[in-house]
Amino acid sequence: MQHDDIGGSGYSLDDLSAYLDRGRQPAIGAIDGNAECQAVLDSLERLGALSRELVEEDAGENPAPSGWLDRVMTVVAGELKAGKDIPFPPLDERAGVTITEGAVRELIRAAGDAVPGALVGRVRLEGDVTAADTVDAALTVSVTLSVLADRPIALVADEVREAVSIALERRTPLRVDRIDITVDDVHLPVIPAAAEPSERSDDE
Amino acid sequence: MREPLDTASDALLATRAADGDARAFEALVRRHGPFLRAFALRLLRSNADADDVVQEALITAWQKLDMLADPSKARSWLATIVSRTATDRMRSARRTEPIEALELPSLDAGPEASAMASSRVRALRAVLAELPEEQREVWWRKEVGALSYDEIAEQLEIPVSTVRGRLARARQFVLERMEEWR
Repeated sequence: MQHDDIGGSGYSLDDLSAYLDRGRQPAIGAIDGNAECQAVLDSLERLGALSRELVEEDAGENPAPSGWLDRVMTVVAGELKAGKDIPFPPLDERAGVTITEGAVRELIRAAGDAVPGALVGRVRLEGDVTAADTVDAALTVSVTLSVLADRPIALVADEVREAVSIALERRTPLRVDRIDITVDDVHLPVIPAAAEPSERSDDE
Repeated sequence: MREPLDTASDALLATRAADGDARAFEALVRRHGPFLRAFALRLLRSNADADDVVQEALITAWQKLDMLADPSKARSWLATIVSRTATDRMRSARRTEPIEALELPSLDAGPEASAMASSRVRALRAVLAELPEEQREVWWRKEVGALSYDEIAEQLEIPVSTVRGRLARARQFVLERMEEWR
């Protein structure tokens, strides 16, 4: 193969290589219209795909040692993002009880996930959460949602709104004005092909 | 009934993890951990180093999740962090021992590996093993880690033009050698 002028296009393999990595943009007619250039670009793409296949094969043949995931998760659990403290109205002058913003988010996720076909994404608490016990603060809770493909979206969203509202009322000091639900994702009941079975061990 | 997080998209898991949900992060690690370890093993050629580096990279990722602009790209974002962590590790190892000494001959020559692999993957393993290290380290980062030229240049501390040149030379070599396998 002649590498400095492929198919008489005036472009070298170096040029094609860089063109491929720019996503073939901006389009160059002399390359796009040249059969030999196209064949080389396709071959380069296949080599990339084959390299990824090679590494996936390595991954399949070389499972993580026992306890590997646990060690990551132990560090992660030690760095939980608690956020601000939200005080409960005092029952007694001498005792203060607070719940963290992080715990409220977790409550909201758990309430939403418990609705069939719903998976909570992002949770936002907008407003002054730390003053929620003293004023009728205008707190807005925004929740994004992924809905199982065959479930009615509006119904699931409503059920999540209701479940979140009940959870917040019963279990937090927050007075919530609005709960905004945005469905921005859909998921399938099957486990994605890329998912790997559990490799956690209980012995650490 | 709770939907298992394993059915969620990467975007949802990364978003939840950025909100502080450790379970969502764990699901993400479960899904991509095997790939990230295999990618790191390609960069480092030592299982112990690869396991260490990916653990360190994942903890960095957990701390920096709010900097992930597009949660649907979580996998390549993680790969970029793994590559960066591996590069740092190799740079400090280079001071003490020659890198070729770390080569694991079994990585591409094991009988089990070759029995499992498709013939084309097997051929690619052999061809890539012939590449000079400076081209191979660019190859893995670009083709498997999906890093940009700029990211590779920054991590390896070489000019972008050198990244482009090494990748083009590697592609030329691999293309020619793979044609012989057809």
